[in-house]
Amino acid sequence: MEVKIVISGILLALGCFLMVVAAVGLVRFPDFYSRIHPAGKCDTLGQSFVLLGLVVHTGFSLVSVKLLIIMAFIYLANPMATHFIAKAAYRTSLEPWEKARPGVLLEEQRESGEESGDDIPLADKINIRGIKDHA
Amino acid sequence: MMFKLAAVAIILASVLVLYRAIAGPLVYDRILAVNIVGTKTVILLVLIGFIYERPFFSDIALIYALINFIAALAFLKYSENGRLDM
Repeated sequence: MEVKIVISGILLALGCFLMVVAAVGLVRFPDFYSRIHPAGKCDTLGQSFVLLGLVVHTGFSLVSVKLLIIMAFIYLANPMATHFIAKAAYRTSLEPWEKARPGVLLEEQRESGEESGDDIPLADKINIRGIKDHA
Repeated sequence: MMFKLAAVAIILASVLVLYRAIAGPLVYDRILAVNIVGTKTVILLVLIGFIYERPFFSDIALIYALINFIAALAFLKYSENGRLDM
């Protein structure tokens, strides 16, 4: 009885941690293509950990079978959905983000003919958004 | 108590994802964020069923998972083609 509650609590905590990590990654990453990475992986693993914790807490019954069905479906459907979103973005020729290195011009600077002088601090050369507005 | 803490953590995570859904520069960022919020909603429905000791909320969660997947595909199709019937 006690062991079951402890195991399900550990699984729930692990799943919630992974879901919060996925949310932070979705907010913090600089590019659309890099944002797919936490959305497809951390979120899928987080939901499966939470549902496994609930299955361990319930024991073997009809409810736990339903939870396992939900887990299997999300495990298949969530990476598939992120794959389709990435494919749709790639078809509209969305360019990947590149981090500026010192001495290497960004694409906008190359187009506008601007020289990368050494008086520009490094933080201004780093392309924060890196993607063009497709609207 | 355990389920309530997990539900609070998941609500906090989905608030963070909602920031990306509002401020996302592209339409694909918004679709991705809505998809992730939907996944978190499925987990939240199951947890609510366990908090109020009605575990048959998992039926609603199963239906919501199906609808969420179809909705993501429909949004993508609409944003790519401008219509749904092709």
